[in-house]
Parts: sequence; structure tokens; C-alpha cells
Amino acid sequence: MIVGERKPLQEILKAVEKYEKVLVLGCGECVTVCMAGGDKEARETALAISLARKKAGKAVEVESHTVERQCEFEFLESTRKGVEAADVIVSLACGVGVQTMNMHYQDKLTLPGINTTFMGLPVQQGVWMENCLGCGNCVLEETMGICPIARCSKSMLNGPCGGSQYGKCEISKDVDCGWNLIYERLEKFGKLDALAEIKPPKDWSTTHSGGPRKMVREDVKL
Amino acid sequence: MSKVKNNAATLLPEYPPCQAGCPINTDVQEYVRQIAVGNHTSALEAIMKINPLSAVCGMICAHPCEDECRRKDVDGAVSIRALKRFAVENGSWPEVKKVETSRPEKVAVVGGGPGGLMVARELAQMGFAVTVFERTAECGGAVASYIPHYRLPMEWLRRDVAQVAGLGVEIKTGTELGKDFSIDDLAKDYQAVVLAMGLPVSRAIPIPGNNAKGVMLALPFLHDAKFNGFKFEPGRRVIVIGGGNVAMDVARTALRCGAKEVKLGCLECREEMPAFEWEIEEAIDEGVEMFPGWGPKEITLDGSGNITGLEVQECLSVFDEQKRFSPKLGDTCQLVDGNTVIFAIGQGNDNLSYLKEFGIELTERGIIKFDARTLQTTRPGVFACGELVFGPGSAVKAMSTGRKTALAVKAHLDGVPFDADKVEQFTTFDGLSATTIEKVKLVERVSVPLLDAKTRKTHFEHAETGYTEQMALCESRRCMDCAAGAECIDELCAVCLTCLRTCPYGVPSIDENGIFTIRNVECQACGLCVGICPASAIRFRNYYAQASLDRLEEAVKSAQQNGPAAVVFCCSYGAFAEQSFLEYLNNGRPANLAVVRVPCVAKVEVVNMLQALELGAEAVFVAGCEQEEECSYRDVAKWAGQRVMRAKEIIAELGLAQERVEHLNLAPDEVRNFAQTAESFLAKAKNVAEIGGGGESK
Repeated sequence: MIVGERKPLQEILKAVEKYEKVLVLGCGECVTVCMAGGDKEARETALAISLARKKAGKAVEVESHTVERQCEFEFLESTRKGVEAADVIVSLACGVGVQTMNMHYQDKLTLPGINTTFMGLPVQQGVWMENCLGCGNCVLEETMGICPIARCSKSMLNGPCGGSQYGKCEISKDVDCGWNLIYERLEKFGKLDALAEIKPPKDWSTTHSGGPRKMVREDVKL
Repeated sequence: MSKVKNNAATLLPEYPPCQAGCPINTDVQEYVRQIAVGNHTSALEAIMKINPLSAVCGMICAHPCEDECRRKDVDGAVSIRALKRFAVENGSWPEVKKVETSRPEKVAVVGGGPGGLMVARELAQMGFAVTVFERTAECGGAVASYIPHYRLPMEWLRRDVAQVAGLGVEIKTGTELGKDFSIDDLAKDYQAVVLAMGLPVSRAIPIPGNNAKGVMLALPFLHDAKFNGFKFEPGRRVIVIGGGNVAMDVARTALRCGAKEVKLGCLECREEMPAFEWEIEEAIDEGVEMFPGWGPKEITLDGSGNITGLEVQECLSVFDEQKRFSPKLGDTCQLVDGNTVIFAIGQGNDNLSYLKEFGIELTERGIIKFDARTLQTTRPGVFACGELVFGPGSAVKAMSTGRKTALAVKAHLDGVPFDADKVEQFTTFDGLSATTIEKVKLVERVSVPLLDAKTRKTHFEHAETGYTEQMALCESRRCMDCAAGAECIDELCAVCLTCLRTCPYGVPSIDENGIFTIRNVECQACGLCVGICPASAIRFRNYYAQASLDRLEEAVKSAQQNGPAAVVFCCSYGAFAEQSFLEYLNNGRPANLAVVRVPCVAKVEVVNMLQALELGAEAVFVAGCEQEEECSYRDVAKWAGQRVMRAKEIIAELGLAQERVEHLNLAPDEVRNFAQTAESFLAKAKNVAEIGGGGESK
């Protein structure tokens, strides 16, 4: 899923400073699951904005609402009344949701309320970890199911590098060396000889480096 | 494929097992919950709403609810009956309001026992004019006539009966069907008649010697002891025949009437004795000597016809393979010494042949012919209920038949068909799963206090002393609120599994097909999942948790009118449910202190704390209990603390002082001394207000 975290409240407050009617809009999918922008976060954020503005003596009307999935035009219709009543919308969806809102409600400005951080998973309750970069050309079959692009700090295809120390990456003792993990798993499966094969440079044109990506399925088009 | 199991509701109401097990479906959960939070009057209201003999049931109900309580598989059923007594003795009894008669028809109820009183009350509440004809001097049936004072002081029965009478039910005592009036007499004035005369006749067994002087029958003996001050002559050695509850009453009453010794024998072996286990144990504690597994053969007499004892024959088995009563006796015999014998082997009805000439037919065994679906006798408009037609049973069972009969009478008078099998239908659910049982926190059942056996057997004072406030508050918290807790709102659920990871009881789960579900019937109603669910997709099935938080806005607004306001979200249980604390909240609390009692502070969310501040409170406190080991829930302080930490982070980001939200775990004495605790809350609120603008971040 897409993981995000709420922007610093001061940043949000500054962004909505000039507005008197604010809609905080949650999304019921990924950002709910990663506890950054679901219904509860939307209510908390709305209350925080209202509280801060009361303190500043500059009253504001803040409503909150959550739609099933902000990256679908159809779902956005359910919040039309709220959007029309508001001067500005603070979206707690990922960047995709924020943009979908701006596309759908072109006369209203939707601002981001969270920073979209990465694609990942909850490795334990309350802890999320990045593990896919969306490079457009998956190599997991060659690396024992551990992504060298996302989990190696250098996205190396032939690792590990000399910065791998006791299984950790040189950037931080809290970050596992992705290639060390790959090595351990190869060893477990008796496939260490795979490391002898040198991988050619990756074609990065399938990533964002090739420009904004688009996918079409002719068979399901209307 | 839906990833969330849809727990679709059935059309029938679903009762928790305790409520389903109660023959009159009393809302046990509700009254136990009300006791737990100190609202004893609300508890009593919930009981009285259903039960015309609330006090009686509080003292002597057979409590089939406890047999169904799911806690019995954990660490013993909740002591529901004793809690009912606590509510009866500690709640304020309502003033009875007469129900206006709105129907032209009049109904006669013959017999003022539990069944008859239930019929009368129900019909009166429907607007019918009802008259109860009671043979004896006061209503209550067997409860009035035979239940000994040491189990039920009469004043409690009288309070119950007064409630029924207060509704406008006319009660005529000392008047008997077949002697003082006939069915035809009733038919002249009443459009329907309900027969509820019970089973008032004791039976004996035709064995040699059963006519001897010194042979007695259970009911006349109990009646004499209860109302006429009967005392044995010195030196009476009593043998009671029978192993049921009446036999226990007889044996224990015999001790109190001065018997030198009391022995009790019955066909059944100890394990099969039909009396309730607690009755048997209390009798043994008082000194009744039991010889179960022997059948009476002959009452032996000396030359002058005086009883010398009871010859008994070994009983090999009582029931045949089809579980029918068919005793098999062995060859071994023995003589039990004694000079008095009391039969307590069961009751039957009066000779009812006087009914036949009025079109009410009897079976070959002399019992009223009765249609169990229409609840009518062979004479249209004449109904029957209770033990008279359904056989021996508890008071609450008789009341349940009375309630259905009231519906049947109404249907008859409305001219619509009635089928007893189709009313009062409901569903319930099974016991807790083994995996949940392992995880429920163990809390020992608070035993019901009794007078010491040596003391209590010397008099007829109430043997059971009843729970103290502390005991009742502890015992009521053992209720697991079966199925009243978390419920997934499928359309909002993001299936994030946060609840699954948080729940200490494993209630949210994923089945073998990968379907996620919150198994509501396993829920312990702690509320941790509600607070942490990021989609607001979990709610409580019962209103009470949300209702408490809904009070916040009003409480803050009211407090603010009296100066800088502080809000306390506090637990509702334990010391927070003691009357002294509630008295302080209602009458002694500073007016600018808003107190929101919640059923466990685990249910207070960050949103609630922010809302309190946003409404204008200067300071917010989440006050739980220090004695976590005594809390029925798990992990409360941890989660309450983490939520307060989150709220602090948020307000700090806004530039407010973090100290405006605090988490406290109060010791019981700090709760009892809440005035002082509250002072510190208000001082903080005042301080924040004085800093100005809600307090600057330091």
C-alpha cells in the first residue's frame, strides 16, 4: 500500500490561513490503513485546525469527511456538498488523491494534508517500511524476493557494497543492508553461486526517469 | 469477493445467553451493567420493567440465567441473582402509577401466585380491568404460603404485590373458586378468566405406616411453621423424605422448629438430587444428615403406634434408559431412626372436579385439559397458566407462562388467532470459544455472604445477608457484556487489521477462507479497538459506550459558565461507581469541573480529548484506575497513556502547552477523596487560562 504521514500541523495551518471554511477530506484506502488520512485522522486534523484558529482568535469553520477512495472520480461525488460549501479542501489522501480531487473539482483548490512517503507494509503494528519503488521492471525473481532497488540504499543490482557492516547499511544502523538480506536468503536456499553472475546495468526508462508513465488496457476500455 | 464477513442481522431479536435463559427474558446485561456503574435505581428499573416479583426473584429465584452465563466456562458464572437482590435493596423503588383502563373488557385471574400476578400485571398494563381472586389471606401463591422466612422475608413479597396492585389490579383475598364462587359467576362479569391456582397439595407415598401420628406433609408443615409459630415438642428426630427444593426447605425449617435432629433421604444419589446444589450444601452446613440413594419402604411403629423409624431400601437407579422415572430397588434394607416423618416428594393440584360442570374438562389424571397453543381450557375464554397446567417449576417459570397467557387473553378479546409457539421468539448464541476463554482475565466470583450456619439454623431471620456495595461493584464487573461490544461497520472498514493486532482477546480474526470478521459474540467490550480503528468502522452494539461520550459537549458548555473549565474523562467502575463518589459528582463538584464518566478510559479517543479543548476546556484529564490488576480489562493504562501522548503531540504542534492534557491513574482512595484531586485539576485549568490564549508552549 501507499504510506504517508500527516504534514506538520503548522504547515497545514499556514496553507489554510486565508480561508474561513475548510473541508478536511480523508480517504478510506491506503492512508486509512497506514493511519495517516482515514476518518479518524480527518476528524483529529479538523479539530486541530479549529482549535489553533480559536486560539489565534481567527475563527474557522472546519468540516471533515472521508470518501471510500479519493483516486476515483465517482467516489468523489459523495463529498460534493462539502466541497461546494468549503473555501478550500485539505486532502489527507496520497498525492494521487489530492490530484484526483483537483481534477474533479477544478473550481476548488485541494491542498495536501499528508506527505506521501513510500509503498510499503506494516512490519509490525505502528511500524511501516518501504519495500517497492515501482521501477516498472521487477527483478524480485533474481533476488530471492527481496528488492535491491527499494531496499539497497544505492539501488545496486550487484551488491552488497563496502558500506555493508554486520548486516546493516552504512547510512544508519537501523537500516538493514538489502543485499545482506539477499545473501542470507541465497545461502539458505543453497544458491550463493547466483552472485557470480554479473547483472548488466538496469534500464531505468521504465521508472519515472522515462517520464510520467501511463497504462492502457484496450480490452476493458469503454 | 467481499473481504469482510457481513454479519447480517436476523429478524428475531438476539439475546445474550443469560437473557435467553431467563424464562421472562429479563435484560440481565443491562441491570448488571447499571449496578457496575453505581446506578442501582436504573438497575432496579430494568428488572421491574419485566418482572412483577423483582424482590422475590432477588431473594429466591432459581436463576437459570446463571446456568447460561458464559463466564461459567471461565471462572464461574456471574452471581446474577445476588446482584438482583442488591439492586432491589439499594435502588429507589418507583412510585407506582395507576394505569388508566382503556379497554371495556374485564379479566378475572384465579390465583395470586407468580403466574397469576404476571397475567394480572401484563393485562393491566394493556389497559384491561383485572381482578385477582386469591384463596389465602395474601397474594404470592407458594412463595407466600410456603417459602420460609429465612429465605424470603415477607416484606419483600408484599412490596412486589403492592406494585401490581398499584397499577390498578383489584386483589380479592380469602375467596376461593369452587367454594365462594363458580366459573359461571365469573363469566357474568368478566369477559375472560385465567386459572392460575398452582399445585397446592402435598403428596405422600402409600407405604405402611403413613397414617401414623407424627407423619406430616411438606406444605402444611411449612405453612404452620411460617404462619402459626409451629414448634416441635422436645426430642423430635425428623426424617424428611424427598430430595427436591421443598424437601430442603422442610429439613431446614424442621431444624429451626426445634427438631433434635433432621435426616433427609431420597431415591436419587447425591449427584442426581433434584434440589439446587446450594440448597443442599446450606442444609448440610446446618446439620441436616443426608442419606441419598434410599427409597422409603415402611414407617416402623412400636406397639403404641409411635414412629420408631423409617425402613429404607437401597435404590439402584431412579430413571430408565428413556430418562423416565422408574426406580429400581435392590435387596439391601436399613432402618433410619426417628420419630417424625415428613413427606416432601412433590405437589399435585386440588380436586378440580367442580370445574367439570362448567364446561372445563379434566384429563383422566384430574388435570385440566389444555391447548398449549391457545392456552385455553375446553371452555372458550377460560385460560390456564402456571404450575396448574405446566407442572411443577420455579416462580420465574410460572411467570413466563403468565406473560404468554396475557398475550393469549388479549388476542382472544381482540378476536384474533393466537399461537403460543409463535410469540416471544428470539435467537441467542453459544458459549465462548476455547481460545477466547484462555484470554479472558480471571476474576474470582464474589461468594454470596450467609449467616454462619450455627447461628442461622436457630432462627427464621434471613439467612443470606446480601452483597455489600464493594462486593456488588466487583461482582457486576465480571459480566463480560456478551455481544454488546465491538461490531464492524462493513462499509467503512478498510480491513487494516489494526483491531486484530490490538484486541487482547483475539476477537477480530481471519478465517480459513481469508475472510476478516469481528466475532462480536466473543467480544469482551473493552473498546480498545474502537479507539484505535483509523476508519471509525467499529462501534458498540449497545448504546452505553457512545452515550457516555455524547455527554461531552453539554458537560463542557455547562462547566464553562462557571469559570475556566477542566474536563475529566473518568472510569465508571470500581471506586468511580461508589455512591459517595456519585454524590460528590452530583452535589459537591465545583461547577467548572466537567466530569464525563466512560465505561473504561480505554474508550476515550484522541478526538474526544481534542474536542474537549476545542469546545473551550482549559485542561483535559483522563483518569483511570491505578489498580490495573483489579480491572476486568487488559492493557487499559497502556492505551490510555499512548492516546494522551498522541494528543499532547498534536497540541504541542499547535503551540499549546502539553500539560493541558494529562493521563492519571488514581488509587481508589484518590477517587474517594476526589474533591482534593479535582482541586489540582482546576488549579491547572486556572493556570492555563491565566497564561492567556490557552497557554503557551514552553
